[in-house]
Amino acid sequence: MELMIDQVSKNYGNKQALTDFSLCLKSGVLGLLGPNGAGKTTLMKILATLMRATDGKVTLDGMNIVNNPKEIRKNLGYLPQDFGIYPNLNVIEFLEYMAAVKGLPMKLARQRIQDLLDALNLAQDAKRRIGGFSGGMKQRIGIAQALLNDPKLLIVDEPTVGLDPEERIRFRNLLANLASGRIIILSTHIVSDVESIASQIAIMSEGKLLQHALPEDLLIDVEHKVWECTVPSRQLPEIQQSHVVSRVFQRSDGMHVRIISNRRPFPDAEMISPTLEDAYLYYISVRNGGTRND
Amino acid sequence: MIDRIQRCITISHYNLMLILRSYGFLIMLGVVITLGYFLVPPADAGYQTMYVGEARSIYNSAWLGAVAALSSSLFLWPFGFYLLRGKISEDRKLGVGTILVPSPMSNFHYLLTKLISVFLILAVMAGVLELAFITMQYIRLEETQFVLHDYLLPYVWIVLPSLCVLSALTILFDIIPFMKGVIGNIVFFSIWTAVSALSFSGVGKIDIFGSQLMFTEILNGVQEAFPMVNATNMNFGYQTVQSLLIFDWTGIIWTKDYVTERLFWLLIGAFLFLISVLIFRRGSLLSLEKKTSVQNTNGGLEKDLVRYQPKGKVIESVHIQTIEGERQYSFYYIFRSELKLMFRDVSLWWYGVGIILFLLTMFIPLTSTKVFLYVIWLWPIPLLAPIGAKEKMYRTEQLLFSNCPPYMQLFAVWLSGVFVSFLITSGGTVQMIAAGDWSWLSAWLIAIFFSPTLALAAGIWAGTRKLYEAIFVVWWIMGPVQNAPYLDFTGIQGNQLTYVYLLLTAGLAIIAIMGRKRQIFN
Repeated sequence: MELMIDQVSKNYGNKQALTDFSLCLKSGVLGLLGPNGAGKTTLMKILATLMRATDGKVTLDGMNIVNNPKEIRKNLGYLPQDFGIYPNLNVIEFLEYMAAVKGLPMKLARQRIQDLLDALNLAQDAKRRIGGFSGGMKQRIGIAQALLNDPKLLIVDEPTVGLDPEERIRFRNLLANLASGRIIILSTHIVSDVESIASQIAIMSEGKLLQHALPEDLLIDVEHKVWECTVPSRQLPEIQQSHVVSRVFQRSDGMHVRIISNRRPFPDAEMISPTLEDAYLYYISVRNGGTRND
Repeated sequence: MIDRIQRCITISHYNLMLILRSYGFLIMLGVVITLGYFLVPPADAGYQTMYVGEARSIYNSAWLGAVAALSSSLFLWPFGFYLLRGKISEDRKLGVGTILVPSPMSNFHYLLTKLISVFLILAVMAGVLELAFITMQYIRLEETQFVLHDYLLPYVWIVLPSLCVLSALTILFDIIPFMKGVIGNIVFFSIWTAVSALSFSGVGKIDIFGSQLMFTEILNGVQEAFPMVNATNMNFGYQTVQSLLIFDWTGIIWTKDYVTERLFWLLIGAFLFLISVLIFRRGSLLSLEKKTSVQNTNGGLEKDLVRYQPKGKVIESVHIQTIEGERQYSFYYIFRSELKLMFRDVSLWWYGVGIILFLLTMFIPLTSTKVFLYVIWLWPIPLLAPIGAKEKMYRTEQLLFSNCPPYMQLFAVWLSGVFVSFLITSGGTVQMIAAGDWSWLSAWLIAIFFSPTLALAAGIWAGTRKLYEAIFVVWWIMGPVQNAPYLDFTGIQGNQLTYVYLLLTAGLAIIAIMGRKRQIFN
């Protein structure tokens, strides 16, 4: 299975949402990271046949998705960032409706729905009307519908929004188990979601691909660039202005500040091991022409 | 106080902008302008819309201003009501209520902003109709002198008080729980019919549309110009005419009594609004579904709390079996699902009345009464109205269009609408087959396709069910009920326009397909 994104651009009037975006994906989980407005949702809408690129092409196993949307949709599972559900249906009815529009035979669909209800901890609420559900439960229904047709290409946009920590871990386990033999694109702001399951990571900013690499390679890139120092709390605003600060925590001896910088920021700063979050910030803020004193 | 008024104006302004920026409003403007065109027919058109005896005035500003005012006052009632009702329910459905309930805004101010915005939208619609009539004055060219106050005064004194009452009713019907759905539609339609009849007959001085006031003034003009004409009533609506007496009407002389009479309707509007304020419960703005869900759970909140207790166990690894084999889209499954979705919330009494209407249309001879034949066309409205708009209303477009062929789903939705339409009107179909009235039957069958196609096209473009409800109800009144030319899509009145409606249905289907294309790649 191969998804090829080749020189894809997308304009909204004068605004360039994607610029010459290229990526080749094989089976596994791709963590797609980027700040708001980076073009992640636009890219995913193009992959989900909901939007046409202004330029470039996307193929799945050599099949152009613009020319063959029907074939692509048979193998596609998509969880949008913002979606609605029919509030007057219960969970089973909604999933049966979605199974019908996905072209699943009803007998098969019923078994699949039962499996998904169990996997997503929805079985107890299966006969309740969706309209009364919390955001997290609606999100789980969204995840269930995306997995209904056992998709070969699964695109999930901010899937863990609204989920409690336990559900988030369940969902991550589920994705990890699904990863073999299919392409999963997971877009999120939560780096820890990506950290645990993504086999490769793409970082986007301003419609461009900044980096596509294995997580360990991203960490190598930021090795010797993460520092920690203790400063008085009154100095913090100044430091935040002049450096990329990835984390701050209060201790009795002052503020412990984690800084990403190419150089040692303060004489007493200690070099520490980087995390994926540090790597992400490094690409977004420091390497990508950040204006701070790095 | 000034601050409150400013806030009220700001909120009303944004409420108004929300509607003015919608496709539904654009389509509505098109309908209003078209209405304006047909309400001012040329002298040799063979029909008239307003005349006394066999006389009408030349198309001068006074006459056209009066016709425009009467048309706005009369027709905006059903059209505006169906289009604008539900502004409060929308706040609940969109979740805005959750933000509004804890806000410091009082119930009175909240409802006032709704009232003002509904009133302003109606006033804009009526204003557009006035402009259409001004344009018609220069298209028909029977009189070229433009007199501003002849248009303005009837607008101010006839149209605005009537719209004030309508706005208040629109709000009131959205607050009384059982008036929000089909019952509300029927009750409102009955009120409109009764008030129209009273207004035109002059019984009991209930002249909300200003027709009696206008009739008195026009009658004076006719008797001055043609003393021999024995005019006893004014006609408004489609009427065929053989010959016309044309005179020059100088317009209404606005006396203090007239103005006082019209101001009385403002008071009625205010009274209805105060009733709304009194019965409005702020909590109703919170999601209705939340309450339902609590009722649905056996054991309520306590059980919910137990259910969501942390499980305190290691989160197990989750596995789902894979699906083998090739998947094929099944039109039958999609069609069946759409049909199930359509009937999901239909109440028992809807079925009950539907069956009674079906039996009446099936067994009462066509020669005896036709009233049930046109009433039956109103019955599918609650099911047909959402068919084009539901994806937008419930924000399911992305889920649907990324999962199935969007045009196949569109066809399935349309066919389920046709199926419902066919089922409900089948009593009439059987009678026509039994009577061997093939001409009527063909028109009737095309109507079965026409109504859901209109619902689909209007819903897809407007993203709301209301546009279809508004257009269809007005079309139904003017066509099957009033027999206006080209508007009787059912053939009930004897003018079977099978081919016209076949073409129109095809046109609407193309519009719906274009709308779907826009939805997919928007």
